[in-house]
Amino acid sequence: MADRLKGKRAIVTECHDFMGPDIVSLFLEEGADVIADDRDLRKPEAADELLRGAGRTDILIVNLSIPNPRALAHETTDEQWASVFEKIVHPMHRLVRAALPQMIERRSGKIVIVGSAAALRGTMNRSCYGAARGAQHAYAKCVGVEVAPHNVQVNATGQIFVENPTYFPPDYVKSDDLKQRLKEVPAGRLSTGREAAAFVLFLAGPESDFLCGQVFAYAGGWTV
Amino acid sequence: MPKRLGGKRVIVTQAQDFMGPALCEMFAAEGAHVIPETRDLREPAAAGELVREAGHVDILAANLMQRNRRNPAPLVSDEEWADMFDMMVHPLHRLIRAVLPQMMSRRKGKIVVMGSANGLRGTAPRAAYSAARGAQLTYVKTAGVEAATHNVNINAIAQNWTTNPTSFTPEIVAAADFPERLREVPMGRLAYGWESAALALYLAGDESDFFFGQIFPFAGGWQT
Repeated sequence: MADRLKGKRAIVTECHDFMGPDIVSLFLEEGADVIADDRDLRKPEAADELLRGAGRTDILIVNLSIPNPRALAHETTDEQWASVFEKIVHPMHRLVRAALPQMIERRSGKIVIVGSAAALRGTMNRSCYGAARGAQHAYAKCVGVEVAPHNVQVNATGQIFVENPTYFPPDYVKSDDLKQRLKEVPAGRLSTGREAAAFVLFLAGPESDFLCGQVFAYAGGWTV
Repeated sequence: MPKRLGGKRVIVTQAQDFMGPALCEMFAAEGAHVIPETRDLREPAAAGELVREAGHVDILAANLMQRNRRNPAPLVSDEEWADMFDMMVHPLHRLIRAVLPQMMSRRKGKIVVMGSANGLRGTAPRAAYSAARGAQLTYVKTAGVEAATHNVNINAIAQNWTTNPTSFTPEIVAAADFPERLREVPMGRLAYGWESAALALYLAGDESDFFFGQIFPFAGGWQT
């Protein structure tokens, strides 16, 4: 299958981290003109610069990650807390804010926020990370409904148990800790990165125009 | 684009109602051998017979629909209540019970339940209809997690505001109150039947193997 994104210009942020590599390669196979970006988006002006440099943008993939900070709530410092939001929450708004005007003007555009199932089901030691991921989902719902009348679609995924260099790298995939955790997963296996990218492709492609403000778990049944 | 369901044998129930026509058209266009089924599935033996006659089944599209009679709860008779469950709920279980063994033994199979967002969000006056739709979705979650261990994917679309010959007929869409009703939908339009069928195609195809027991709202932002 190919050409599902033919003629589309797509930005993928953090192209070397989290779902970046698999999304970039699948989008390229599907004919997109991919702007694989790896700049540090914590700088307040970085998102604007990225969108300005990119020009016409049909698809924005908000792929933001921070290596999984596990910490007990009562031990999480203000600095840790802020660092998580600065990495995965505030840049999301700046990216979406920068991309929306041109999409609204053309009455066409897709934004997919690659999120985490940590926001959908409580897990220990992840209150800060889960809260930040939850902020992404709530934002996707509200902005998604807000821009739906302009025929721009904003949706989010909530993934976990997906092979990727940031959270499920090859070394960890082989660990006993992971084998233990997989017992909780109805699928009984990890998703490949490419499988998860295929769902992002569905949300970025021409067949999902009626979906907006939606959060989709991608977790092998773990959130069901 | 190569056919996405090439060589697959697909049952579509109530092929003339609800999403039946759109599903048959989309699946056939993608190369499936479609078995468009029209028998009355209220007969307890019907689902078993249907699956036996069909033989090898790769995909079951459980498309079950009874028109909502729009009675407030105090006015819903036992007959109306039973009718909703006889049409939409009990056949769902019988169909899935009949088709699962062969899918489990092959460790491969896709079941897509064409459900309703009325099972997710309260709307008056739809108590009996929505209760039956809610039962479908809860069944999908549980059976979906159960079937995951056999690598069979059961998922549901919870749709609303989608053009179809049963619940959004040309007469309903042309009615004077319809523009007012549509104001509830952020997207500001009805979905085309093919758009819902495209999500069903994704869930019936080879790219959705990591989804188990999941509900996909499809309602133009009406249910986020």
